[in-house]
Amino acid sequence: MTEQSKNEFYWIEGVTRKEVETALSANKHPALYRRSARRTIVVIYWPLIVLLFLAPSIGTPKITSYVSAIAGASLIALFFALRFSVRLIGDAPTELLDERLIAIRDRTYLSAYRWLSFVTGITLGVGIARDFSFGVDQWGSIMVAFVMLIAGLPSMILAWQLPSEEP
Amino acid sequence: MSRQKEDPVYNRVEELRSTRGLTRQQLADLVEVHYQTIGYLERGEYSPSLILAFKIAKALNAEIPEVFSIKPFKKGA
Repeated sequence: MTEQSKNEFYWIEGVTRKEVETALSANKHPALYRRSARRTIVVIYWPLIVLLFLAPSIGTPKITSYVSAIAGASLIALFFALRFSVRLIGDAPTELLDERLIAIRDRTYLSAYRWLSFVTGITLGVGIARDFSFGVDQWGSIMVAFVMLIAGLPSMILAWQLPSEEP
Repeated sequence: MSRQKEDPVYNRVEELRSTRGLTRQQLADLVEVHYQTIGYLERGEYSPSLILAFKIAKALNAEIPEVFSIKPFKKGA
């Protein structure tokens, strides 16, 4: 096996082999793998998504821009912490996980799909109620919120459900 | 269709691993699983697949019935 194939990039999952292997074996920050720490990240991440969704409805366009920028930047930073706290289980390809982790990941995606259906329904409901009368800037904020929701949902569910790791 | 609670699978992984002088990480490397999975197995919080049970028994140099059982093991067995 060459060095290049050792660290192959998984296009569908958006991760590299090395990234996943590092996350699975990392033990530098044990506090991050406690349930309380993981849940804290979710508790901050989730309202930021809601804030980004609602940003178009807040005040003037200038305020909306500031709120969107701050919430978006915070979400991106938290997104990486969230994924790392669950050892990238939600994003890892099957071949890099063992059977227990595969089962956890697959159960998580079932929950994620149900949550996504619920949130999509609510979003469409709000959109229909407002006759989809959002400006281009407003759509940008909503789309970013939706992308961050889709990208982070499996890890959020994992972070909420996984017990603290034992040393 | 209702799903009944999964029957427990008892095991002596921790005991046999200690006897062989293996750490969880070493056993995990031998059977190619995450070290936390060995912990889950030892605490009876996870029942392995048949192939993993075979791999663990082989790594512990034992037969499957010596390591896994659907009845609790007698103490000192």
